[in-house]
Amino acid sequence: MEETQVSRGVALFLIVSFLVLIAGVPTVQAILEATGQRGEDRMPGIARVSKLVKVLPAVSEIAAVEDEIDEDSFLRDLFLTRAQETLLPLGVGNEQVYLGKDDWLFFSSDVRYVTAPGFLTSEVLVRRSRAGVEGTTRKQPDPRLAILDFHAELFARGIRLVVVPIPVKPRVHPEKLSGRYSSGEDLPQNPSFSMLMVDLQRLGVEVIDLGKAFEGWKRDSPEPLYLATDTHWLPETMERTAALIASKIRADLTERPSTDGPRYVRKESTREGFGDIFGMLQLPAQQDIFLKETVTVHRVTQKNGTPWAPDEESEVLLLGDSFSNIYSQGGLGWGEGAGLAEQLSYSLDRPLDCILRNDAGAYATRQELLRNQMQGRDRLSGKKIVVYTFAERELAFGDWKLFDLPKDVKKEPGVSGSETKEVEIQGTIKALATLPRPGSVPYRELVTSVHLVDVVSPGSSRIPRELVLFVLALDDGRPTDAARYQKGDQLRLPIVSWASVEGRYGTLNRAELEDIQLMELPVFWARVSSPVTLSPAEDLSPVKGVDEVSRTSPPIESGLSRSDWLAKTRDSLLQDGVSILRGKGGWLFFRAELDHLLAGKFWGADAAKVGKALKPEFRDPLPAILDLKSQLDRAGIELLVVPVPTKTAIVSDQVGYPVDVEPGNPPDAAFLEFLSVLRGHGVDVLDLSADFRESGNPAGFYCKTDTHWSPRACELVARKIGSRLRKKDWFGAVGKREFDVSDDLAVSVIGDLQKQLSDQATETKEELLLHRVLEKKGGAVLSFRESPVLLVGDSHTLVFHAGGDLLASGAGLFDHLSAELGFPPDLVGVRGSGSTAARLSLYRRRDGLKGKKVLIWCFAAREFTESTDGWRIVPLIR
Amino acid sequence: MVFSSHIFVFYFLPLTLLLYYLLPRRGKHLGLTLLSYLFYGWANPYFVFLMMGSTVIDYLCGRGMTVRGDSLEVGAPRSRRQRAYLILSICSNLSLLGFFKYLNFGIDSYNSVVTSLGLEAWQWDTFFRITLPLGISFYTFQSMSYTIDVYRGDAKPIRNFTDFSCYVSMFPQLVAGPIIRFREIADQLVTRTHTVEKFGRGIAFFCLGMSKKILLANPCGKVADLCFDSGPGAVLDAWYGVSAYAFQIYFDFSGYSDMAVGLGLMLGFVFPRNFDHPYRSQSITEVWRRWHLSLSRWLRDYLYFPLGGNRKGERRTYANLALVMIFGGLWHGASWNFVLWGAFHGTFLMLERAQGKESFYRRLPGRIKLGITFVLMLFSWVFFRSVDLPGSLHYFGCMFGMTSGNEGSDLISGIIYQPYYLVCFAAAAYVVWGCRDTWDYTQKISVPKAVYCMVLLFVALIMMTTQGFNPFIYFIF
Repeated sequence: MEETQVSRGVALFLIVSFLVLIAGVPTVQAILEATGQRGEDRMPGIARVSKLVKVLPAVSEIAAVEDEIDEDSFLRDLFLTRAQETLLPLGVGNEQVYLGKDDWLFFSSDVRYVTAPGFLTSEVLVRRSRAGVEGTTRKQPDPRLAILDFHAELFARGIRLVVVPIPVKPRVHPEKLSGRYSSGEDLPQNPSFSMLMVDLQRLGVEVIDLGKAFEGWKRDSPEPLYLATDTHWLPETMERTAALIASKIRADLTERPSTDGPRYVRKESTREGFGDIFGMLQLPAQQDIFLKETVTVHRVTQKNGTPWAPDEESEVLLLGDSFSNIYSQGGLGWGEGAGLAEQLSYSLDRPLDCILRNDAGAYATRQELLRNQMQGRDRLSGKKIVVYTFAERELAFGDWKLFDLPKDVKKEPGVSGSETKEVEIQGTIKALATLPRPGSVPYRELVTSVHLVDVVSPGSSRIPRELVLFVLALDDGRPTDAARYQKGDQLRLPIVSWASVEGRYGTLNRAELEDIQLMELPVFWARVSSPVTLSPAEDLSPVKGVDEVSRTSPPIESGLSRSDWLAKTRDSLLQDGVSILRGKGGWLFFRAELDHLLAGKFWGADAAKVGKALKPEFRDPLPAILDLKSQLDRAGIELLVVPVPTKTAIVSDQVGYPVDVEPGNPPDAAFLEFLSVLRGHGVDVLDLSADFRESGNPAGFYCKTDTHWSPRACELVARKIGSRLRKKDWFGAVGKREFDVSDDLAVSVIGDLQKQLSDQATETKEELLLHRVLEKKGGAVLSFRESPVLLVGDSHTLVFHAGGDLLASGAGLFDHLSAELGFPPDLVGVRGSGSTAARLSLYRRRDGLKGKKVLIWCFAAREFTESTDGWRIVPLIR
Repeated sequence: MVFSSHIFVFYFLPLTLLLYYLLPRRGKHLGLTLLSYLFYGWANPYFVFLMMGSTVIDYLCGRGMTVRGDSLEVGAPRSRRQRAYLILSICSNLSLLGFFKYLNFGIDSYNSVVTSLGLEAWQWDTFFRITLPLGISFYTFQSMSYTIDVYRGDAKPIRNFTDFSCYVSMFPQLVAGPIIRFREIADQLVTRTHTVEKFGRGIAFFCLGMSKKILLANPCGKVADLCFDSGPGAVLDAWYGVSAYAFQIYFDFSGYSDMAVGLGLMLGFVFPRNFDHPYRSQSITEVWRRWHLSLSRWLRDYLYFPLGGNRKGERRTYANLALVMIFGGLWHGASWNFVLWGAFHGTFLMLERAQGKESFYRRLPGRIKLGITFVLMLFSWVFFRSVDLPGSLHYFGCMFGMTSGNEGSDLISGIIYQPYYLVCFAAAAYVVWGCRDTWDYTQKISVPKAVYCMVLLFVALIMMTTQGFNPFIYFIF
């Protein structure tokens, strides 16, 4: 090399600036992690790398660590969205997203399906069969083998298989991506599709080619068939598809439609939002390039208003992916109760059974069917037709695993069906599902499967030594700690049976274990990362006997103080491993509340002694609350803390303890003192205990058989908050509208505590009066992201609002607050702990709370001591 | 580990520089070797053992040649033992390469033959498939050059095993070159200088190499991938796609080489030049004086010359040329496409040699010669990029309007003609034909150049956050 001509000064400039850049980034990252500014739930980078310090770490482990370091880099957070926004005008999306015309977005895998060589050509099949990651089973690339095999399995049982590949968006709207297509043309298709049709039909498999139907529909109307910013179809397209499928299968059904008029009714409502492809662009929250899309969905219900639900006795079983779920799974953002299963059932006017799983349509639903069959739940019993739908791209990229359905289904339920109480277990990970690279998938939630062995459970002898655990590996688009599990890791965490939460998590994307034999193992569900105590609201299945989960309040012994009585009762419950105290008149109380009341002073130096957080440093709630207050002050946002007083303390006359033994010293004295401490620090707190106690009927503010407050409490709290906010300067400038508030509505509910008791118990239903809030034009009030009022909290923000297991809809705190304010708040409610998890959900929005004026933080008071997550510092505003 | 990754730039590199400069002189090579093993093992820890094995064998063979005081002077006769050690080294290295790189190819070719003969039952389908270790072609050639140089007397055998391990495993050029012959670096392993000027130029090399990869190669690669993976929908798409690939592979490979040279300079090493404006060549012969120079020199010194070069008559010279180029093609990858790519170049080298190492269009104006040579390069890149031979032929058909892509191929026009890709393509063309290459550009570094380099690096690092995993093309060779 010739002599370099560079002055010493220039060389030094280069060296210093280069070293500052390459060493500065990891240094800043380490500082941010050490000070908790990257989120307390994140493992520091150095700790991640240390996981690789062992003899020969696996390639997948190394790749996972590198991915995590990439994902958690502050540099990425700092520049990704800005760079993405800068590139958009130049017509470039990212690895997953292509930009089309008129702000249409396309998923790259969908485009690849249409443009790729034929998926059935021998070269492609051979190449795909050889591709794969070290240590994982190679893919079975030929869809014909799997479909024919499935057809044969069903045929042997006298069941007809109807295969419905759902066209991908670039096929249906190529004119939105390339000027070389016009809307009236035949739809382009992968070269192998026609061969697939011929091969399947030749062997007796019925395939509905939706592409042909869509061509006709496109010619008939210029309206689009798919969402512009999403991978999926519009509701109208899905409904027409449902009608088409119904017309093809109706004749084979013996079950007659209802003679008493239509069995189901549909109710129209609108939804607006951004699609999943838009989400993949990772644009800043305040972007103004893309507009929200509005769709009209038709929610299907029974004639009596009961939500539609699958019926395992039906003659039709629908297997489907996110095309089926898009309008039925609330988490996808486009409404509930209006998906393909509901519409098909409506079109057939018959009940329908379904197995739906987002993504992996090539195998996920068939595998779930197999799991059901292997565990004694015969989903094929009484079936005439199985409708198998999946996104067409699966034909080219899916893993068409072959499964042998068991010939005889054992009828007795497996262990997983019986263990519904939350149980703490410890075990060792023997196998894990392979997870996709972060950012490479369109969905924001992913459940992963863990094969756990050497399982021990001090609390239950019914937990098997070996089981499969489902946990959330991707939550709101970010990998959780479960995504970092490794073989050999020891886990200690609370679990519940899968059956008890399947309704909520069963349709999410799931990464499965590769060993099919593991399907026979019982399945359980666990929360991610830091183990948390599931509230009874999430533990639904009533299976155990009353005395197995609860105890009646013991009688008052003379001379026994209230605290002694509480301690004695709590110890008795603990000793028997039960979580519910049966009070007077059918009132039920959660044991954790007794723990909270007995804790005494729970902040400052005492926090470490009485708090339940797994990490002692997170047991004190005061620093976390003050930190949030400080963050909000800097941003000019007000904080209003709304702790929900402990039911056991307020409804004291129903608990059974000596109420008047210590007058002037309420059982929640420590809580009340803490509120004073907060006020002393300038934190605005809404003390509800006085309102409840002085009302003359404190019991009216709580549900008798549920851990949550009552609709009456929601209304009172909404009024109190509303009256405060209406005095604010900014309030007048916010656009208002009126809402309809219904007259008294009586509803019967079964509370979460009651559900833990046996179904043999009498008087299981509880009557409640509520007032439902609706939009003037009809339809539920929806959270308003741009609202200046942010309502954050635990399930108290969701109960009577979210429906389903949260008792009712349209009558919760959120709804009544909307009516009080004249506009809906922005709701961030979580079902878990309101202490940290709620703020983490807020943190993941990464919008710095822009545009907010007030943050209302509502959570159960018992969280001050009982939260196993603890009270972490969460940087919401940077 | 990939140079253009967060973990390399922000963790591995600062750690390496810190340790390297903190370690005492005697410990530098050991430290560098261990860090290089970490770098290599990041892709697959098991591959480290393979490299260690290759290192040990060649070190022992080198030592074995001098154990009994046999002379290794140039011109002195070699003993049978010395020859045996050379053969042992060559055979073990070629066996490793053959097993890991060519066994799958052999099985597939065998299966194709028996299938075509109707003997499907004789297929070897149940045989396991080998995972190709990263960069095996590079370090095997490099390690082999040691024993050959020692045998020939071009270099003295190395005594210190750590120094030799450091030479074989040195991470900057380990997985994608430049291929450093032992004689080129032997002196530097003994003594080398560490100067501020060298370090500064190394940084400039690294910055430019990184920006070539992130800002030019990756966007051009996107266009090329779309065109080659789907089959272009129109003639223009086909030419655009293969041109984009030409730019991608040049900026990808030369970007890697720049970063390797830059990292070498930061550690005090001076690596040889690997590129010299290859797309400004006016003949294929000239291309090979400008493209992947370290491979050209290796093939010339260790294959072409031993085969006789041009000293054994005209016919033998042509045959040697063809053989060397076919071998060069196969070195890149185990597939018939690479054989054809090598044969294509070999054929043109022979034709041009017959005309006094001039092209058959030598009488045309310089720019036209340049254009024709570039088009010939494009033809060869079609073989290089296509997945298989039918794919190559299909692509050629698209380039000349004789075949068309799939029904959906036109979809890619909505992507590849977006302004971003057109701008990157134009920028790549400008750099290829309008700018000096890194080697010349960094010879004299002024303040504006230094600022320019740092700005480019900064922009490249920001863009890196928007791009997925993009390994270098030559990693798989």
